[in-house]
Parts: sequence; C-alpha cells; structure tokens
Amino acid sequence: MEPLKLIPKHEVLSDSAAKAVAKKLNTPIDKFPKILASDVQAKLLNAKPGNMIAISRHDPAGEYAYYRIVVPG
Amino acid sequence: MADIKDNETSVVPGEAVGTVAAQSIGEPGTQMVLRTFHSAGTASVVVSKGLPRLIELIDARKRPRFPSMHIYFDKGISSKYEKVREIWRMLEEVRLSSLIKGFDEDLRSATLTLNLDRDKLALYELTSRQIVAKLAKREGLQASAEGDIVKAKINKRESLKSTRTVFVHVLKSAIIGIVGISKAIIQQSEDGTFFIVTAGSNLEEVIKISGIDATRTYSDDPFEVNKVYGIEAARNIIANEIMQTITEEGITVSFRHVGLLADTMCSFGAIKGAGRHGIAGNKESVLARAAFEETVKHFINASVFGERDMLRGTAENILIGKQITLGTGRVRLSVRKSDIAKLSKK
Repeated sequence: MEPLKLIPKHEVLSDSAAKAVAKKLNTPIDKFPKILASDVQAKLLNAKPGNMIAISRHDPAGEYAYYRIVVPG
Repeated sequence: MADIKDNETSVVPGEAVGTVAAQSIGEPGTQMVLRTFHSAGTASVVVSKGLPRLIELIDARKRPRFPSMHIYFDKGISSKYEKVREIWRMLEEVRLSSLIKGFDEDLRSATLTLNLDRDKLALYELTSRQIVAKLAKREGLQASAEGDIVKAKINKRESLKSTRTVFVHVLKSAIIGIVGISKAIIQQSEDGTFFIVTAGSNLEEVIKISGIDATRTYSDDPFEVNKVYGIEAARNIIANEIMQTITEEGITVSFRHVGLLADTMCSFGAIKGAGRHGIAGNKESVLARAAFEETVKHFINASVFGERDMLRGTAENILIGKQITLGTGRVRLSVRKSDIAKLSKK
C-alpha cells in the first residue's frame, strides 16, 4: 500500500463558503471535527477560532475534502 | 454505468459505520500475535509489532514503547551515500557517560573529573577539546582538558544536592547527536535512494537539520507528529501505522474502517484514545457511557450535575427498549404546522 501523503493541503474557507458546506452536509457548525487554533497548520494559515478549514485528503479509499472547525486552544 | 457502480458502493444513510469498523478491526485483531519479537544481531531497529502495537495506537499511549523515525532527504542528497552518512553521524545520540572510562566527583570544590576513553573518542572522531567546548556551553560550568582528563567545575555552588544534580546531567548529556535517538541505520530503498530508520525519535530536532526533507520525514509516534506537523498529519500517521501493523500480520482490513477510527480519534483537535478516557468517555449520553464502563461513576456524576439524556444514540435506546436510530429507524416523520391547520379545517 502506498503510504498516505503526510500533510494534506489545508485551506481556510470564507464564512459564506463555510455556511454552504454546513448546509450541504446538513450538519451544524459545532458538530464538525475540530482543529485547535494552536495547531501548526492552522497557525500557518493564520486561522482564527470559528473559521472552517478545508483539507484535501488523498486516502486509499479516494480523494475528498474534509472539514475542520478551528477552536480555541 | 460508473454512476450506478458508485451508488452501489457508497454507504447507505443510517448505516452503523462505527460498529462495522469496530468489528472489522476487532475480529482480525483476535488472530494477531501477542508477543513482541526481538531480532538480535540484525542491522535493524527494534519496533513493536502485532497486537501490542495496535493497542498502543488505538489507546493513544503518550509514550510508545519503541518509537522510531523514518528520515528522508532532499533530492540532491538522497542518492549520495557519503552525504547521507554525514547527516547520519549527527543523529545517533552519544552520551558523555559512554565516552569515559571513569569519573570522580569532588563535591567540596564542585569539580567533576572525567577520564576519557581514547578508543571511544576515535570511534566517533571526537577530541577532548570538542568535549570541553560542548561542556563549556552549559551555563555556570567551566571546563578544561589535560590530555585525557577533563575537568568540569561549577562556578556557583549552592547545595550538595544541586551540585550532584548538575553532575548527573553532565554525564547524561549528549555530546553528539540528537537527544532520544539511540540508534540510526541507513537503508536503501528500491529506487536507489537512501533513507534512515532510527530507534527513538525526536522529530522536532531532526527536521531542523538541513538536507532533510521535512515533508516526508516522520515519526511513528502520533503525538510527536501532531506537535510538529498538526492534527491532520497525526491522523494520517495513526491510519498508516494501524494499517501497516494489521497488514504485516497477513490480514486485510479495508482502509475505510481504519480511516474512520483515525478520524474519530483526531476529531477533537487533539489525539484521543478509543477507551473510556477517549472516544467512549466523550459520548454525550449518560446512559451510553454508563453502559460501557464505570457505570456507577457516570450515574453519580450525572445526578450531581443534573445531566440530561436526549436519547438520540443507539445504546441508550436499546436500554430503554425504544427503536434504535439506525437504518430505517433513523428516519423521522415531521409535519409542517401549516399542514396541520389545513387538516383541522377539513
């Protein structure tokens, strides 16, 4: 099996894009997986708590976007 | 056609994916070896395998028993053995205590006298002067050398205890190499490039070395990866390591199950184990937590703090004998208020 690429691409979504994602997935914002504001990748993007980060994953099961909400910490 | 196939393979809404994943990993887990093997004498690094490693990963143990790193190099370096060897020499931790024949501590004058081992020094291409320079870098320490004898004196001595602490630290200090890396081995991959596998890990320090490809170099300790590369990388390490551990036993488990487990472990922003202090302990429902482990504790805490159970999960609905919220049971019927008004008019 090809090992996963260690660090996938992270991207901060605009508030309107985040809302659209939450609506499309029919999930309230606070139920999304979290990422700490102190996380290395969140810091690199200068993401603030409340922002949504889109992650382009390349799993053996396929390519897809994964979303995380920045939380304080 | 591709559309139909895609629909066939996608998960049905309401499917209990977590339970399926747990069973898919759990059943083959019963066939795994319990023992950790040690292969003595071979040019390899000790890594834990089999069930112990799997448990270590899933429980999210803070300190793995045999942490290990894979170090990859930048393009210009990875195919040149000499250059890789140069970096390799900077990796393996050599402590002062392993370079000496003996030592003498004089507590009254706070002086530590070290008798260096010449053969050992030659092995690592070190001189006593280099050791003095390294020791002098420590704060409040004076070092001098006369032949093979090195003297380290503490400038300001406070108490006997603090003096001894400093001595012990000096003896333990790494002269060359990176703290935590006890062994490093150069290996060649199929495409001819070299990489290094280590016993012990210190990702933070290693990726600072120039010539190392920080996008591929990794540690198999998820916590360390989380600290250095972030939670997504940690998730990938957990998934990869579980997958590798299982595959090594000759068992196949679909990646989706392992990926889901890793996702859930990392969904809080930090790594949480699967046990009662992690995923299972973070369930919203009191009844679901009580049904798992430490029943009394959860009931007492829930009653003290007046917790509420919304009865949305599976375990609590089985407990009270209601239809579980899976599959068709997940579908709820709701009527619009305006429709009720229409009905009552008729």
